[in-house]
Amino acid sequence: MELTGGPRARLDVSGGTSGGVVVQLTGELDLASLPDVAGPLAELLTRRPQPLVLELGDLTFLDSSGVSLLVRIANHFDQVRTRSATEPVRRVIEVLGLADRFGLDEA
Amino acid sequence: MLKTPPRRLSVVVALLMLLITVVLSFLTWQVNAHSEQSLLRRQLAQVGTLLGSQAAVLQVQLADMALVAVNTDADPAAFARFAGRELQQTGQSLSLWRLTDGAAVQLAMQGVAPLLPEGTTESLAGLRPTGELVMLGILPGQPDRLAYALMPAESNTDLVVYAESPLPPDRRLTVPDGSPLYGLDLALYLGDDVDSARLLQATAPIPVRGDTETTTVPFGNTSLTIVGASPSHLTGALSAALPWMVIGVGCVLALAGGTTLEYVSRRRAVAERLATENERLYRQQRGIAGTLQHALLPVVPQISGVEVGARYVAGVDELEVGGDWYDVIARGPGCCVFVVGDVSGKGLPAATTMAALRFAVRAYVAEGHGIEAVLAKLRGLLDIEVDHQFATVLLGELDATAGRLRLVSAGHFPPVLITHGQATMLDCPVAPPVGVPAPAPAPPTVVPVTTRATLIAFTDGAVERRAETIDTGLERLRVAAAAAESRPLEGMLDDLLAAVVTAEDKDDTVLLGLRWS
Repeated sequence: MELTGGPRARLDVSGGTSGGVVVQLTGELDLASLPDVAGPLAELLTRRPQPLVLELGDLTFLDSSGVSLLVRIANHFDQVRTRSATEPVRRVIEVLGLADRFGLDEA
Repeated sequence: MLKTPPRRLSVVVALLMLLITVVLSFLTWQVNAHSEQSLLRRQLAQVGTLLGSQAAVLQVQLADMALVAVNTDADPAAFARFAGRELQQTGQSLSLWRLTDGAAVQLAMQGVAPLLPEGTTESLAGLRPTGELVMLGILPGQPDRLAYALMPAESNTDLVVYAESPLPPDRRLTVPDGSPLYGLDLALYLGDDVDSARLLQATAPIPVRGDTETTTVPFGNTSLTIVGASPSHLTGALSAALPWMVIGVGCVLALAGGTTLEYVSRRRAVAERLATENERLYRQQRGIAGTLQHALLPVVPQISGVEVGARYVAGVDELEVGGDWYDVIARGPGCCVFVVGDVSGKGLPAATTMAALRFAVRAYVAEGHGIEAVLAKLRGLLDIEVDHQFATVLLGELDATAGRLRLVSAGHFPPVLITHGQATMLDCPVAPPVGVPAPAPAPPTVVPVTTRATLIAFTDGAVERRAETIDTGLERLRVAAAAAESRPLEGMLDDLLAAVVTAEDKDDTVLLGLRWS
């Protein structure tokens, strides 16, 4: 675990019109990097419920704290769909029984 | 501040500083006194010179008169004329005498009549022609007088000049301002020792008080002894006050030093006491925390027909428990319910939620619920939106006698079953974790088991590593389990723990092993 350096995780939001929002997560999402995305997350959770697309193609690590964050996002929006995910992240979601919850397509 | 007596160190330091002060003050006083004494001695030497020259003045006066008398063949008129000029002092008596056949006869006299007490003329008769001023003593009278005489140093003369000078009343000498004698207490004695009967003059009551100095100077045929003291400080007021200033400042410094030291050492003592108290409280809290944490860890039960073993590693160094847990509840011979769970997050928040879920599982099982019902009831206890936590839970029901294993999973890994050298990750539908909304309860998986098998349930700490996918970790565990099957259960768990736990990527880890035959 890195103890120095800049943020290790990023949360970017795009869209937000009738087409729904796209949330892109980048980096390593764990207990230690949760504060890095706290600001954008709070803003995201103020939006009205609408279709949501998760872009996890650049997310290289996800622990249970990171999964909590994804669950809170998914709970807030309707029709969650995960468009891309790295293999480690996909497997974490699958073993937690959350593939359906995040709309994760079969690999 | 001083509710308790001061510390010995403060007192010692203060006393030491006081001692140094006293010594310094004493030295200053000594130096000052020495200077004082030396200055006084020098002043008395000046006084001596001054008075010695006075003798010379008297000698010249009488010698001049004697010379006039010799040259005028002792003409009384000439003597009177010359002596009259010399009579500067009122009350002085000047007379001219001739020594004839061992007796002195007065030839002429000027000024007041001489007192000439008994024996004076005999004294005059005994004079020799030396030209030296001869002091004849102090004559009692009104006022007392100093008598002196001179016989000129002429070989063929028999003339003597005799004088009496009045001494001031009470022998009191008044020194005018500006005189080198001014400011000194002085007493002048005729002769070479101090004898109040031969006191000539004094500026102060005798004997002279204080630190006195004595000097003796020649005065005619005798000496003059001068005793002096200085009532004021010759070295100056500052120099005289210096010892007192030293002692004053020293006392203040000693007191301040002692007080400061006392203050500092008391503060330090308070700090040390606080540190000790904090240390004690910390130990106490640690003790309490340790006891509570131990209470959260389950005791492996004794079940006939089923051997149970477990390993528990907390991911946070300061804690003995974390968010992971396991439990085994006996349900009769060869029968038990087991649970392995993992609350998301780490440390104390995870551990407290873990404790709540663990005891809830025990309670629901004790009420006689099946594992599906227990899982459904657990879902009501945790909500990620409220608690910001979720928990993965694997519940299992083993009936070794009937050879049947039932499993339900809420986001948790299925266990590994090892039998006859083969290790298999059991396949089990996984519902969302507890705390995450689940659309419908997952049906339990029923696995037929042979006699003599080992089941290993675990948490993600055993298989997750940052640099690899979970499948790699799962495979590592499976292979290690197969390899260790022949070992006794405890040894097998040790082997597995060593194989899966790394020092750098430490997470809460549980390994629960059930073995039946």
